[in-house]
Amino acid sequence: MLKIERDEQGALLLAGRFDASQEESAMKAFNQVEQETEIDCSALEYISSAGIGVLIATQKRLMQKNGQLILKNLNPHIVEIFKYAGLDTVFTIK
Amino acid sequence: MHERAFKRSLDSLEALFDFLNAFLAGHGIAGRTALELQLALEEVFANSVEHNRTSTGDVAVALKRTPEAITIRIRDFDVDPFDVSRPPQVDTHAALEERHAGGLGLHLIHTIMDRVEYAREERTSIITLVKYIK
Repeated sequence: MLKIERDEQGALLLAGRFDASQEESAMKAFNQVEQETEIDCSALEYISSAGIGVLIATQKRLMQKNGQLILKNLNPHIVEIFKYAGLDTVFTIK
Repeated sequence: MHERAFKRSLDSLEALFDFLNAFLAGHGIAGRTALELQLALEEVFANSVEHNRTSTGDVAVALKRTPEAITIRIRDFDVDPFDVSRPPQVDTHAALEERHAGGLGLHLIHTIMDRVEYAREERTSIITLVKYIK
């Protein structure tokens, strides 16, 4: 199960598992993002290519408006998955 | 092998992960190895759900532990051939505009698994994933 919440500073908080069963609902939530946004991933346990696809689609859309997603507090295993996918260079990871 | 059938639906993912994680916990496997096995299994299963829409049969998942490795075997019935043992051409250095999610799952499977095998028996696809235990 994936939870997506927005905090008082406007950052999105991702918690749980971002697998293919969550892709559709997550895409709806990310489609609401219209400007540069921090994504707090400290409670994100897992992500697959379906979840990464949602992030890529959002990043592409935002970059056309000079915005971006900034991924924060990713656990080391998930950072590795991003590196395997070559995505550590197209996202700002803090 | 320890085998169970799962309905061909992304809604089965939770039960699929429970099945795998219980097996891995029983063998003392956690952390990075467990995460990579979950990822590889999801990618293959989701591929079956999304690309074999004409089949209505369940997908059978079997797990085996040997001293050297964990083996996952996925049997997908009444489906057209799709050889997952060939790594896809994914340019991991491409600019964002040229990136798309297609092929990424298969690329990840080949990156994190030590062996990816594909076999056919009539209209059944048999995919075997092997991860060596360090």
